Amino acid sequence: MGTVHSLEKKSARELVEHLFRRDYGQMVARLARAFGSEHLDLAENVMQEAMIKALQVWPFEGIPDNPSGWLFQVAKNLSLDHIRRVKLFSEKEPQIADLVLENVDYTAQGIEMDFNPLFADDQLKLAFTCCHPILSKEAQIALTLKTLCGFSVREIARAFLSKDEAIEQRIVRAKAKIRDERIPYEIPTLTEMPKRLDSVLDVLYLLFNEGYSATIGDDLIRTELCDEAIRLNVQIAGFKSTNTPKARALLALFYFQSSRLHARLDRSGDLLLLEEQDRSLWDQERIQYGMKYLHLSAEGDELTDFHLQASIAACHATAPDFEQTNWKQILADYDELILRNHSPVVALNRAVAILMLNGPKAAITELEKLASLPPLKNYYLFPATLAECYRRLGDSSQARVQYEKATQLAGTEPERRFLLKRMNLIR
Amino acid sequence: MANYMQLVRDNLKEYSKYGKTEIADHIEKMMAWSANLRKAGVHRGAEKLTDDPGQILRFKNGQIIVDGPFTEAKELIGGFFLIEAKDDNHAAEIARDCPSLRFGSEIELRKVADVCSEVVMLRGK
Repeated sequence: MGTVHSLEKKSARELVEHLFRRDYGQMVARLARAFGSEHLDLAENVMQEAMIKALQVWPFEGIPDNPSGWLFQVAKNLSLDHIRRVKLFSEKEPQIADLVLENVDYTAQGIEMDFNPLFADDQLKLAFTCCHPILSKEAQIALTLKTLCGFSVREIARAFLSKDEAIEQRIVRAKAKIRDERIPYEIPTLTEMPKRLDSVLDVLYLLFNEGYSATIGDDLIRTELCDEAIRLNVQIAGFKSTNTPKARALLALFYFQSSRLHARLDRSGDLLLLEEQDRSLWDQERIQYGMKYLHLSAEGDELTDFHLQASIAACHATAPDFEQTNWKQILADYDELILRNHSPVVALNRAVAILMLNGPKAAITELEKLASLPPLKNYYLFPATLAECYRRLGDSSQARVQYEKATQLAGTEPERRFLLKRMNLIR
Repeated sequence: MANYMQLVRDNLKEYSKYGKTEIADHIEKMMAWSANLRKAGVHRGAEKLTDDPGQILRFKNGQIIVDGPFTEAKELIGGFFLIEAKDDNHAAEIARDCPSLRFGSEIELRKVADVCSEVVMLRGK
């Protein structure tokens, strides 16, 4: 019988959030090891049932003293039930027996972002399974979010502007493929590791980007996506065979960017530029973690795109105010990045750095070189950047022309409002 | 002043759609609601009933028969809260705030009889 006064001891909110955010992934991964990669469904369902049990029982009996232990014990009991009920799983009895008899301390430990060694390699095995290159990138993302991160189909659909049925189908097919191809539940070998790890890091990058981008309306899901990407990257960085400079650089990038999550919107919910943000709202703890991992990522000879992006992000994150931003370093990083990654968006961002460092004339020269690139033809920020250059040059009519072009290309109301705001700055 | 039983019937089908964040959120809301019952001094008890639908005992054809209740899982009472309220309206006010309602649960609110006042009423006649 749980003790009711545990409510006074710890905030119910913190407890439940930390428990589910941190422990869910580890527990479902441990269950997936027992059931096998061909039965990911079962691991998910058992976890789901255990959480619902908590929802049904705790309000009456109070949160137990060891909520993690309670939750996982219920999951184990439910696993036994399933094994007994369905004869098909009788060959799994030894694995389930191991699971039930395992004597591990489930007391939730460590602060939120810290590496928790409990079942760490199981979580990585599940990540490698969900992000297997044999699946499409969309399938990898959906499967990771559903199975490893515990998102509902509805939440995933909302985050990626898809329909529930489409996501559901995608996940079902992905699991079937894993079953048919007999994808083993394991840490990849040394030779496979670079490719397999790249696949996982790509998924994390996409998850984070989705959470960070302004295209989603739901604030809660946005932060969740970023934090899940960070949580998983922390696991990767804590495991010897996956703790590569590239993984660390990505984590640094995540920490820097996410430090601004609560400063990016104004009262009407519109995006604020870096120069407009209240830097006292930037999460210094995350910036510290970012610096730590940026530092660690410099060990070894590897220099990846993530390193350069993290370095750029570090320049912004450590500038006390916009005027003190180290644009020289940022431009140097973009100069290197553009050589490896000819993406027009990178080129555009580089042009902004040139604007800041060398003034509008130089920036316009760069931008005109990019004008013919197809991806930029429909990208509203391209004419918007040109407009800003002309505005600084004092050429109001050209500025207005470019802002009109940008407004034509803008896809959403927040984007149009942003452009209007900039247009009103023209004298 | 009287005690009221708040019997809660859960909607398990609704829950199956939830992700971990939604479930965590609901648990937190329920804990806050029941903490408020204590803070307001109206909490008189709470128990969770097991999922086992239990038994029904009857006297039939000269003997005690023990049967399954044949109640559908969805109609099972999951648990109850015992609250003290000024009157029916107050009891309803308290029950309305129960977050379970918003997750598809159903609440049956029943007043607990106060035997003393029954007797007093009878004496008065």
